[in-house]
Amino acid sequence: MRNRKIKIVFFTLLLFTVFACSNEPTSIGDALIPNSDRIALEKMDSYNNSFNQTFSTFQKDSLFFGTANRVLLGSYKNISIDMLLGFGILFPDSLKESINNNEVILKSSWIEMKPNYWIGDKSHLKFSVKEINQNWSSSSFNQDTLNAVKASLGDDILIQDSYSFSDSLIKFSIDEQVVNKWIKQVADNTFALNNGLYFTPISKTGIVGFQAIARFITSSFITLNMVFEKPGVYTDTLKAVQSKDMHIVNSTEPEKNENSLILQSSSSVRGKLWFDVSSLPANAILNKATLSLYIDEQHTFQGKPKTDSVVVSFYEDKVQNLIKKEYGISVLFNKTNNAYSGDIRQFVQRWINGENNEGMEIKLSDEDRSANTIAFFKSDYQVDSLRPRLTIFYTTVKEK
Amino acid sequence: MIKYKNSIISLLLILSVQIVAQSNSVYTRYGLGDMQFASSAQNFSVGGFGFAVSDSKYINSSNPATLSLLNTTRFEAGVVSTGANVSDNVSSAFYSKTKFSGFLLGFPLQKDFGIGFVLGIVPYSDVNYKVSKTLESEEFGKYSTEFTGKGEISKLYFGVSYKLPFEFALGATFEYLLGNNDYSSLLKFDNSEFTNSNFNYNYKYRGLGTTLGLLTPDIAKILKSKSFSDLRIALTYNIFGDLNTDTTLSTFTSIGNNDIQKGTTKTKLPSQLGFGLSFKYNSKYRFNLDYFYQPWQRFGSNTLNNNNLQDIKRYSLGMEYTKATKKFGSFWELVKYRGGLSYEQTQYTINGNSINQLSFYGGISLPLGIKNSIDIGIMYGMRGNTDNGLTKENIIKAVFSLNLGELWFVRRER
Repeated sequence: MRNRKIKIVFFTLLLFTVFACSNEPTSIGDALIPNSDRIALEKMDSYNNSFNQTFSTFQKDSLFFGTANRVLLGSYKNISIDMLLGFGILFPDSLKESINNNEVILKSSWIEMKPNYWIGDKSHLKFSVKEINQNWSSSSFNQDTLNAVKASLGDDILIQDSYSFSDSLIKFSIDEQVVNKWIKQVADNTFALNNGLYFTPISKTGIVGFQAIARFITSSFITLNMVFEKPGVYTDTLKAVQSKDMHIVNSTEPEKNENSLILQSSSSVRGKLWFDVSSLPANAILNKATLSLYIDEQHTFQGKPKTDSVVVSFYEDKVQNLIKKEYGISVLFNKTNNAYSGDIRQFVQRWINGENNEGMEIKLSDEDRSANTIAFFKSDYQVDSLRPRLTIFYTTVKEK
Repeated sequence: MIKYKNSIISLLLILSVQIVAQSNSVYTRYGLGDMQFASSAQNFSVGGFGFAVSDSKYINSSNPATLSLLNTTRFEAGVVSTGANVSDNVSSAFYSKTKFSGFLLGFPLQKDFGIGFVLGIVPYSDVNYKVSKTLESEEFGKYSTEFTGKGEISKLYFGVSYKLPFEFALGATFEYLLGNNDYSSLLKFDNSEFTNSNFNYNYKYRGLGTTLGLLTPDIAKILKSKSFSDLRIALTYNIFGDLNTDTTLSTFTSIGNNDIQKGTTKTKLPSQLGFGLSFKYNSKYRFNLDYFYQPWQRFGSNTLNNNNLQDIKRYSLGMEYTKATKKFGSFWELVKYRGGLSYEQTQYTINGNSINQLSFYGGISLPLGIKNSIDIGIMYGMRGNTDNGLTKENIIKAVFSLNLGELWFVRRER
């Protein structure tokens, strides 16, 4: 009997614990919250407030682009770009045997390149093509490799008469002895390796870009077309696509002007921008921080396609140009009207949380695949509203 | 006691979880929140204290000197459910929560010298509120503010009693306070372009203290009164050293959590003074009068706002009725009925308005045999008013206690 009563009581207690009801919070009692708990919403705008800022440019030292998804060739204003190209030639075993037995002949060959970028006048593009007689790799390319490659170059092998240009295709032939040598090398590896071709611009009117090597072969790859004939038996065309490629930029400093700073792809001229945010309270939470960089159209030169964004990165060391390598530490700024804008709340939050404010690095997002130039108005430009503008929304509570 | 073992373990398991739900008193933002006076239904239903109530069937946690009257090993545990209708001059809402009200284990060690021992854990103070308000601005669109306070400080203690000459009894408990309170301010934007703001202050408290209790002998015996019995006066004094308080301000930002302020400070806790009188009339009625004082103006913390604190002055009156005048009787003869009322100037004073509370109590003790009982206490209280932006709280509180007694430490005759 007594145990039964205890069980009843336990059950009752359990019911109380489980079915204790609750309500969603309401505003009742809001007036009792002390001011020290209340959150203050603040806005600071470099347009109205006195944020000190500095904006400058520098040129990144490495100008070898071996991993870009576009290879460039040409010369325009202060930039000249050489292109290196190697073809991966593969034959079926039956053809290899016929080649070794001299049963087939290379009847003709030509190279096709389909431009997917240009700046300046692409129709007058002129360049030389020389055979490279030195092994190279785009992943380990350095100045020594370049010197060795240049020293190994033969004569210009472009057959000028074969050169043709249309909006979507550049077509030319090279000395067939070189192509024949490559074909023999595939069939008989005692021949010297195929190290590809070195393209040097002759014209200074424009730069053209082509699809670089990618994981999947596409129809826009550069191709080496070869027509083989086995007399009286067959005529066949084989295509080889690029197996390695890269471009090398030679540049001088872009032309300066009073109003704006020049950022440039290919020559890798980047910006360093710093804002003094030390006036923000140490316990502030950044709700939004928009940075806008206004474009000086007069000094901006863009090809097709245009640069659609700029990359703004958090500096770990602005002297060494070291970028913080953490996930999400770079922000892509998109173009809207006359400015590239983006949110740098995480940068500002880090600075007020105690990380060194070394500023930001700004570069064009297509630095390795275009030769575009964008000019941004300087920090001391006479029109206040066109200077780099930082608008910060933040919240604080009174320190207890 | 063995036969209740499974039941006790089950109860503790149930109660070891802080029950989900929410109560809501923004007054608890100040000081350390609401003080938790009575952990057992017996003390609770006679006005909240009963400093001088000496019933050998209960552990009186408000006065360690009463341990001298324990004659069996006793175990007490319970839950407390609180419901409050909170209103301002515009609207009202009902909130409730249920939580563990602690446990006590007490036993007599030496009856001739009145040496009793107790250990247990009981709630000391409680913070619980959540207030939300929606706002709108041209720049930010719709956004809401949410202020939340939650936390509890518990008292872990053990105590002993000793009988002095002339049947006076002295008791002392040695206490360790521990717990933490969180106060957070949240700002939520409807517009996802903005990162929400969340500032969170956390205070972790720990500190040592003691309570001394004094209980007079049965004055009715000295006066040789026939109608009155068990007339006793009690005095208690509680003091704590400064509480070590680990303070952390954390912010939750777009780059994650960040503890932007961290340090250990001291919190000065005001002492407590209790005075009680208790007597039995006609063996069936027991009355008690109590006064409690705690000078919260002396609360010292450099991080919590104490401009809104005043001294607690609490007056209470209680009575208990039982039909049986002897140990044995039928179930209904052994049932005890309790009632009481209290008036309290709470520790809260908002913009010069003292927050006071008037409470009425009722209770019942259901016997489970001679030494055991289930005790239920219920309170209805009114705190504050709706003037000057204040809130009025109509509070219903129920305490359920399980009281078990067993003879321990008895040497078997060979």
